[in-house]
Amino acid sequence: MSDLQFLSLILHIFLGVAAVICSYAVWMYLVRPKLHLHTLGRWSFWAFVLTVISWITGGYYYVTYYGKTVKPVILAGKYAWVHTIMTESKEHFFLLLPFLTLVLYLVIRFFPTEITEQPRVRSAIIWLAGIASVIGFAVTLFGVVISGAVR
Amino acid sequence: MERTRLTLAAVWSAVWTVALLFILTVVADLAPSVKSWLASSFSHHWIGKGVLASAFFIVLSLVLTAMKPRDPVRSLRAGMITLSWVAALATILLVGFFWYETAV
Repeated sequence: MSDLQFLSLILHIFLGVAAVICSYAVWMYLVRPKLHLHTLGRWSFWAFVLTVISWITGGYYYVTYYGKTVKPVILAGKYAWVHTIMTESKEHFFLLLPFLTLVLYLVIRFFPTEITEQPRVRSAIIWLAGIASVIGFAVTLFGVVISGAVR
Repeated sequence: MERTRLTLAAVWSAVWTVALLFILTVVADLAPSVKSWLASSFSHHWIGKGVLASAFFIVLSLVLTAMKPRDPVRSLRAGMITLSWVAALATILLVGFFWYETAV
């Protein structure tokens, strides 16, 4: 593994986890009785930005190293299903997250009054933040299992 | 007003982008010619899906921005709920699809 591939993997993991934490923070701040829109705006901004950087770095590692070196090892081992089920689904449902986090940021940024004053709008964005967080947790969990299958 | 319309457009565009990603993933897996086309056009099928989805999202957002919703708040709420459902379903169905493909 080259230094750039290693750096990409590390950045993908750390920034990906940080993005999930930011999405979860958005979810939790939305559930609170009193809304802090400035704080929500910052968490949602970073959730989107970190997701995009994790996407790019993870993509570089996946395309240049995982497919050529890690994938054959997993497929030849006892846990081939980890690649055929978990990697295959993770690499694709990860692609939903940049769009979900961007929508969260835009709605928080440009519809603050509606989120604050209309319970049905707030309920809808709570659902969206919750789904983004759960998908983020699933990506993280699948990543941990995939790493375990290599060993 | 423009930012409000752009946000609404992004919400509904995201709904269709998530649906497109799901369909593209399943079709590319079932039809090797589609996967090969993605790989040859974008150097890797996964990159192809990401590029196509991003381009589709941007173009559709711009198209939808030109539309004036009668009730923006109602459309916003409906869009976010639809997006939540579509994203959750796409995720579950993708895992189920690759599980089924592995099992048979």
